[in-house]
Amino acid sequence: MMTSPGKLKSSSSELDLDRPNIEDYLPSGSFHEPRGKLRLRDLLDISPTLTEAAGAIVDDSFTRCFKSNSPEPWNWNIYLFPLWCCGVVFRYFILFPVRVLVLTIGWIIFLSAFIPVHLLLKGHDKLRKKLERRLVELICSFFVASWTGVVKYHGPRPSMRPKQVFVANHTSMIDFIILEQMTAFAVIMQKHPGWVGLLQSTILESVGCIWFNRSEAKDREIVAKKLRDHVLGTDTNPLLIFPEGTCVNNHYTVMFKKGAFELGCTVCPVAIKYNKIFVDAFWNSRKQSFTTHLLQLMTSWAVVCDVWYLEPQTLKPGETAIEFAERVRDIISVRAGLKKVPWDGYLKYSRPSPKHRERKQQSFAEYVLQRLEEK
Amino acid sequence: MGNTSSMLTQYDIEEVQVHCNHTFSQQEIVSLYQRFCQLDRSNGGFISADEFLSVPEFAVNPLSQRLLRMLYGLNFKEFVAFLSAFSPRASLHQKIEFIFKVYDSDSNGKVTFNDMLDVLRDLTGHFISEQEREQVLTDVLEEAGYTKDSLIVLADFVKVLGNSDLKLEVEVVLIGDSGVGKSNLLSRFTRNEFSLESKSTIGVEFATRSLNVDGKVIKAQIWDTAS
Repeated sequence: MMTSPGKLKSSSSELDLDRPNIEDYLPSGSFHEPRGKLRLRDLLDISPTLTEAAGAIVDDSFTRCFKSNSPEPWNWNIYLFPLWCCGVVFRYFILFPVRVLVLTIGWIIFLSAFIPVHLLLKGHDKLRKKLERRLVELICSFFVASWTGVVKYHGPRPSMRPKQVFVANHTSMIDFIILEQMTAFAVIMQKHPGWVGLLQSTILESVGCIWFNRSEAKDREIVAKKLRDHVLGTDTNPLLIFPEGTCVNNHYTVMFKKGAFELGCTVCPVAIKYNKIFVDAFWNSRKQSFTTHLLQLMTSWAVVCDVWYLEPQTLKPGETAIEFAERVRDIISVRAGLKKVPWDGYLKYSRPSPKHRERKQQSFAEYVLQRLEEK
Repeated sequence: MGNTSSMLTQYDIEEVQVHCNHTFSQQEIVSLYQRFCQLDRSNGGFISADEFLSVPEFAVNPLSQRLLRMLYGLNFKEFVAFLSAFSPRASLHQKIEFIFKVYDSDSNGKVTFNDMLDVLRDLTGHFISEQEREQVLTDVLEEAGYTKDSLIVLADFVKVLGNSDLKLEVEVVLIGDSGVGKSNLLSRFTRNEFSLESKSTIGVEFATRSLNVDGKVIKAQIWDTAS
């Protein structure tokens, strides 16, 4: 919005690297005004900055992305209430135990096949990989069944070939399960604690999944290297990346990390949209553990969602990785009906860089100095 | 929707309204309460500094640290009173008083040269040298008939700022019959989008857009309500 001309050369040249359009979004100061000599009033009047601050306190686009929106109660009234009560009893006392049973059976089948395959077929790598792939798809189908996932897949099913990477918007870890039941993707994800972490380091490792810790700077480089190796392999599972890097509530998309778009591969966008008719599939990791999230899904009627495999995109000549990422984000947001916000999802875990503040300070400083000159 | 707001009774809302001199309507207070609960993640009854800073737009504000000191430990009633200066219904005097309080860090009713220098430092950072900053401030103070040593009180602020037009937060509550297109008006205005198949609004949605009116940038906050 505001191109700052003049002598105070901006410290913002590197600022644009990872953050495409944040400056367009942030309300810019209003310090380009009637000229004239600087007066006391001009310095004392700090209302624009205060207004911005108050505006951010009252509402901001970032927290909206991570707000759980509970499904609207369907026409609550006295006549439907007994029916709803029956529903609760049915869901918690019949549906839920059945689903637990289904899941347990699934695990028994899976483990009793996976362990022998993993240990005995050491010499036959190709066959072992193929079987493991099938088994992981199988257990994911059991998971989807355990919350009666009604998933509609649109578009051609992904196939295995080198030099391609799938990117999808991220709402919950169940995204991964839903995609995995169709195709054994290798995924890049945050390392989780507890039983999920155990699964990650044992079973999913064998499908080629890559785990990292968001807060470790060292991990970034290791992941970047693993990524490059992975996409070049011929017999590796197709790579799936959630470039938002964090779960968003399926109404918005936050900025895409550019890593997936720098690999020189074809990028296949996948759009996932949940229907909130029965349950909100957003995993608010601050408020609930993944286990509670799963229980919530397993005690609801069904998880309804649409998955679109969209047309593969390649880097256009002259396009930067960030522009490419934004273009793909556009495609996904349009298909899934999501609003785009210019924030980095990692701001959930860290504070914005002081550069943004400095930019505001710079523009005010410029204004003061310019007005000083005009004696 | 509205499950948290149901915890506010009519009495509570009225009490808050009295506390903020009726600068906010009941519906606005309900919305503010929802926002307050959303920001108060630890349910402590107040919003901690960390919780405020989790809003990136607030965290990047040059005055955020100063405002945080004012916001420290405020309960909902005090929080609304704090924001009341930003209501379009607040008088110019109230707004100037608020600005004065921002300057008056030790709240003794007097603003010293150093107080003003501190705010100017927050606003300009390292883009102006300390020496230059003092020079600028001394100059404009003398120009206005004060000296470096004068203690400036609220009346002086009113004199200096009273006839300038402070830029204010604008809140527009759209009220119209169902289906006349309030939501689409909102999205057209702020995002230049028009959707033929939008659903009825439930609860309140709002969006902001900065407008340039006669050289002043005004942040219009447009509220889209269900009915």
